[in-house]
Amino acid sequence: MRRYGPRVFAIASKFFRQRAQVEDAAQEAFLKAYTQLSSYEGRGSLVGWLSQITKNQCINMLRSAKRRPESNVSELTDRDGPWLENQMADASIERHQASERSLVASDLADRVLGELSPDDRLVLMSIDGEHLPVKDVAQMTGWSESKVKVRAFRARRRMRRAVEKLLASRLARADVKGG
Amino acid sequence: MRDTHIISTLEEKSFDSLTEDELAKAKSHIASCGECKSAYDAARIASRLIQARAAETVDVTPFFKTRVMAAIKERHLSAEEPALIRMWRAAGAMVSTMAVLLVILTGMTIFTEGPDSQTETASENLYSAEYVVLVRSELDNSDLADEQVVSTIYDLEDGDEQ
Repeated sequence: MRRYGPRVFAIASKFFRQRAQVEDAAQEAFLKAYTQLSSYEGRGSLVGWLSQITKNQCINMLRSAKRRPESNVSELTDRDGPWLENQMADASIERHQASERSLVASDLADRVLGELSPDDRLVLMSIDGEHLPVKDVAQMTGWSESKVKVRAFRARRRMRRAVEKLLASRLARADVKGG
Repeated sequence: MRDTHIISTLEEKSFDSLTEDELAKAKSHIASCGECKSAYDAARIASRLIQARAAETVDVTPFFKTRVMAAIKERHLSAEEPALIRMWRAAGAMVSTMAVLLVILTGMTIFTEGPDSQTETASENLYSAEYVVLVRSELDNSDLADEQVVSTIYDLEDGDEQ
């Protein structure tokens, strides 16, 4: 557990942000690995097998999770505005990287991703976030590769539209402040 | 036409994986198309948000191992429960069978006790006179003559018959 814990947590963190949810997913993954250890045939690496179990567990948890209320995404907080302004100004890469790692960006990302269905979120985080090949995502989800591609296509569109809503809110807010 | 081209390119793959050529084409296109510029900016920000979210990781706490071990133990106990229940059911059936047998045997003992006890009482009555004489003789610690014993027995039996 000491050896594989960080890997399992890293995978679960891609799907969940709350510590409690990450720990729940990781715990279930370890429990399943423990109970299904006899089914491990030793073909692949143990860490690969455990990663697969963790991903499946996260998928199940995401699918059973409820979607967030739609009104959340367009409501900008005081911290969101400056971050978006920074992004729209197209600042240097270093500044982008610094801001991307910030809590604001991650919080905003979580809210926007919350607009998507669990399956869309999974596909988007796997392909665009983890840079996994479509083939691997198809294997992980049990879908065909074309289905994964269509899902990713739709998820990007939804994500983009959610961000457009955010940007529209930013403009509306600027107008109100301006006068 | 041009909108479809730019937007579909943005949706076909992640923003990060756009080639230099694709980016150059997109930039030249958005210079003259406001709608595509909006989509381009949104796609760029969406990509950065996803990257930011992907970079965030929750660390393992020292208590996590204890938590998992406790969960494994708990699951073991719950998995063993059906076996225990089966054992209890088998034992319960055996105990109830034994209880029924006990009741039957008790009943039989009570109902068959009557005639035996009467026989015993009759035999006790039959020899009661002799018993009294013998016990008395032991209590008195005195030797009785045979005639005395016989006469006592007959006197007592005559008394009973009357």
